[in-house]
Amino acid sequence: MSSDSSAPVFDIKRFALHDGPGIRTTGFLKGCPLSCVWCQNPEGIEADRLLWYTDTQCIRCGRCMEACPEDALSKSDDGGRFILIDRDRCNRCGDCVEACPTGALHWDSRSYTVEELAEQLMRDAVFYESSGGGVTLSGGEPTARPDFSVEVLRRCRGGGFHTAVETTLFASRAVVERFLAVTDLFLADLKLIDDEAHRKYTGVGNDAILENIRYVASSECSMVIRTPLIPGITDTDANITGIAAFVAGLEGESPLELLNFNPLAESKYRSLDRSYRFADTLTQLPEERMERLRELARKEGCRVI
Amino acid sequence: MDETGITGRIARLKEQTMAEPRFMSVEQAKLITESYEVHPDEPRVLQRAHALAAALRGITIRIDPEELIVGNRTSEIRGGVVSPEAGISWLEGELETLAERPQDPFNVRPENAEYFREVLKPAWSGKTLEDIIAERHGEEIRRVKKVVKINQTDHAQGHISPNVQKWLERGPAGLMDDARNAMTGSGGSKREFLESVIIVLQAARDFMRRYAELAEEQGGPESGAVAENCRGLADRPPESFHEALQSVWFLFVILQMESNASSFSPGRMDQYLLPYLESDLAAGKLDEERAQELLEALWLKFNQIVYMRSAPSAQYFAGFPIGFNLSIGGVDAEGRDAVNRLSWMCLKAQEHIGLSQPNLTARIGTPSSNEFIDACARVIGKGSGMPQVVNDDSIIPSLVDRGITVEDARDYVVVGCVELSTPGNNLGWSDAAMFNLVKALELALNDGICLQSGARLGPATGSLTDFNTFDELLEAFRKQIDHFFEAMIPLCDAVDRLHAEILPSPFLSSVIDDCIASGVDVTAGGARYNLSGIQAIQVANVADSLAAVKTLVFDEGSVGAGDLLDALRRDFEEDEILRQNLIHKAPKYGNDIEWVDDMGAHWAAYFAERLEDYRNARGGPYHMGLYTVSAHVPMGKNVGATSDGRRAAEPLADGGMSAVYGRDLSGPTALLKSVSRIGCRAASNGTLLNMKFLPRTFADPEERAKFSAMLRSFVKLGIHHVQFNVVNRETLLAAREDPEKYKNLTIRVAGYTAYFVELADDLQDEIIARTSYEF
Repeated sequence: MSSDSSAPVFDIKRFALHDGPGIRTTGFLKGCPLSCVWCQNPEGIEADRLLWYTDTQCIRCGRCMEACPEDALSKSDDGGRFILIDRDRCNRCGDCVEACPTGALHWDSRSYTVEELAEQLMRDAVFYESSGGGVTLSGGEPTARPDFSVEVLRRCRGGGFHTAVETTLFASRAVVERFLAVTDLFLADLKLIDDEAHRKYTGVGNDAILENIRYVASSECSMVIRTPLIPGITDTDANITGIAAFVAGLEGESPLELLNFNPLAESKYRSLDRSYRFADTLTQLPEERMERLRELARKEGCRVI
Repeated sequence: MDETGITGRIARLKEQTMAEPRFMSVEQAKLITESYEVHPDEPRVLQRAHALAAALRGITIRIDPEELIVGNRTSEIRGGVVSPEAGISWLEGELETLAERPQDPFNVRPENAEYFREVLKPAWSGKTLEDIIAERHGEEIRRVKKVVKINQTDHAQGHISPNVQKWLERGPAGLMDDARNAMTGSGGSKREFLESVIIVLQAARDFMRRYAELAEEQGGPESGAVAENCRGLADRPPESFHEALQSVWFLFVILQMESNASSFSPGRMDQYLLPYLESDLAAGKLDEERAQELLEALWLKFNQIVYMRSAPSAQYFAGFPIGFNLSIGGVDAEGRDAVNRLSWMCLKAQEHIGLSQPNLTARIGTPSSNEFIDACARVIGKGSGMPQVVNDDSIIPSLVDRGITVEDARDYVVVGCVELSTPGNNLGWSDAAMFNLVKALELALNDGICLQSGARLGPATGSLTDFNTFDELLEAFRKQIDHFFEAMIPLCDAVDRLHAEILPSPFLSSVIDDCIASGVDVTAGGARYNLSGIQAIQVANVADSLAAVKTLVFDEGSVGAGDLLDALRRDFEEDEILRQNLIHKAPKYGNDIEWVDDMGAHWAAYFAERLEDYRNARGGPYHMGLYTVSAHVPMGKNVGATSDGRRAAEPLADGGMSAVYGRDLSGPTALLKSVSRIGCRAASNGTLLNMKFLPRTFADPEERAKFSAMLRSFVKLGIHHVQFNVVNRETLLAAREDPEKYKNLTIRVAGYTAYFVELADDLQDEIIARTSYEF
């Protein structure tokens, strides 16, 4: 994935208000070395583009089935949705996307060059100026495409804009070092403090992540450590206490932010024909529980935002 | 006071205002009719003056026990006034259905229906503005109506902001002196006009005295102050904040009695009432709490006058908009931030009352403080749709372009909904006509023939299948626009002249500069500024339709011209795939795509330039507005299927600058950037942009600060106007199910706020369907 002059981008969200200070535009890159079981952006994990089906947009015209050269599309019997996709048969030619008149079938992403993405990310300059906002790269995992990401960030910063990266920091020290030079704010995910649990739920251990967080904390860049609260997995007292203790021990003033569970990802899994592990727990943590966890973290001596 | 800070008195008066049923009222019509019988041979302006005087002296008046500010034009709250001079023919056909019609119903008492049929209709038949226009120009108006809707044909002209400051400084007695002085040595029509002014001002003073007498007669804890205020105001200018508020209200009641028109707007109340407030506070005559209560008492009064329109007109302007538009903030004559303590009190009153009137407008611009913008954002978040926000940075130069001095332009106000004007010196005639560009485009695609009726409406300019290039289509579009321009302007002028002939307005003229000085009625061109506004409707549908034809027919060739034309002709009956392609495979306005936005911008600019070729009947310029009020629904009914994938008769895009709903998928910043490309500067008559946010956007101060920052960017982008509906979809759905429970739920319809449950079903659906932004 090195020396990319283009990369698949699965979303460009303008008027993003939770990805750093002010009004921002966030670009979401595909491809992530982790595979968290709760992933909010499942389309961001795989680096290749995926066929996406939204049944509510489908007008049941059947043109996609006619267009498919591999017979990978068939009519569903279950009455709920119209189309079934045999993803093993699909050769990703895109004929069905072309044929679909409503966009019910579409690619989850398209390829952007560095120039294109930087241009898109800077379109809301007039809003960044008024709000102290800027651009954010997210994913997926932006550090998984260091050449592309660093160049996009460099251009945006050159345009005079605040830059942020949403990242797991699961990367080599050398890559993180390159990001340090072009990033004003790291929004670093730390999901589980226990290495074994981290491996179990995300597919990788957390050694490199903890090491990189320490490294960024010792730099000039700002950082917020963010922990997504996943019911039964990351929202335990022990995990939050452990993370808070780690954050409190960092150099500098990096705060901890606890992010409430977001059940909206369920529909994304459906569009990708995947099952969502949390389909039965589609409720957020109650505010009392959130406050209790924040309190635990504060007791460890870390600043909670 | 309850926890919100609203006093028990205000809460009770509010409840009463909303609870009283609405009735059609013929009392004033009766007084006017009798007056014309007494003065059969006098010049019209004197007849009008005598009629108003008779109404002021004879109309039943009422004071409610706890009222601090008194007066109304009907003895019942929210009465629907019948105005025989302007027009009642429309009412004849609606008498049976008035109580049941879907939009803006009024109850009718049998004896009033009978009076209407037996006396009123026969007495006025053929003599009203409505009938005379119908007789002289009805056929031409009908001929163009699918493309151009000529307005002001059955009611008097409003959309004007009187010189309230002068009214306060001089009072009716002082203005009478002014008229007498101006009369010296004059004769003819000038003398008749000034005599009329004196007649109505004298009657206005008597009207005030009648309230003083009634208050004394009724007694009660407030009667002493009320009586003293009213009696004093009859003879001299106000001497306290309370008196000034009462004086303002009398002014607007009497303006409504004279004209029964939409949108007499109080304008910059935070500026002209400030000296009265400050002097009372400094003298210890008033504390802030009492001042707030007095202000809110006036706030409620603005909700007690509604405007009864014909059923078709009520579709165009739904929800009884009366247009008491009140502007706060903005800059002073030197361009400095003019926000003062009264501006904040007005915001608080809006927060407390949250009803549909006054139509509160916040003027913001580069000099505005963050505190003021954030306070506006907070009140917007309460969900009453107010304040709407207008942009000093873009509006002031836009008005200067129309020949208004910088000083006057800095003092601008919004009249009615979003129409721009200057206070006390301007007959803006904001709604001369609405031009349906989308219908003109339909004719350009179909050789001048209406897709809905098959009738020829415009010149034969070829059809889509005849055009070899996209530019040939644009040329046909231009010819269709030009054709209807030529038909429209003389009709607007004719209507304008007939207002001067039939509805001279001496009372209104007494508070518009320079009518008294020049001895010319406001309808005849006596105002310092005389504009006429015509609305170009609707850039979003034009941009989307042209972009789809360009992309799919001419650039890609993926859709055949003949196939598209056939599909449009049969309203996509067998063409769902094609319709979906039009929607999904061509880019849309509102997503920050330059070339698509420019499709709309080009035609808005062309429209504005064409208007510069004409002068109106009063000698002033025509200029363009980009707003529809609620007319996007009925105007949509006049348009066949369009190449943006819209089916025949469906609503057009709402507002004026808004994207077609559901088509702006890139968020609010992209929409604002698209809108900024349309070029508000040429739209000096006013523009309208609707945005919808969810309430939680405003709950957290940090997020609200980002919303406020967005408003700063709105200023920089040079967009004249934006307004926000802040309501959950669930709430709207619940209100539709259980209207009784949601009687007070206000919603931004167009340039004004209406009660959601009082809107017709199709408009309710349309509002529910609009794109909503969340954070």
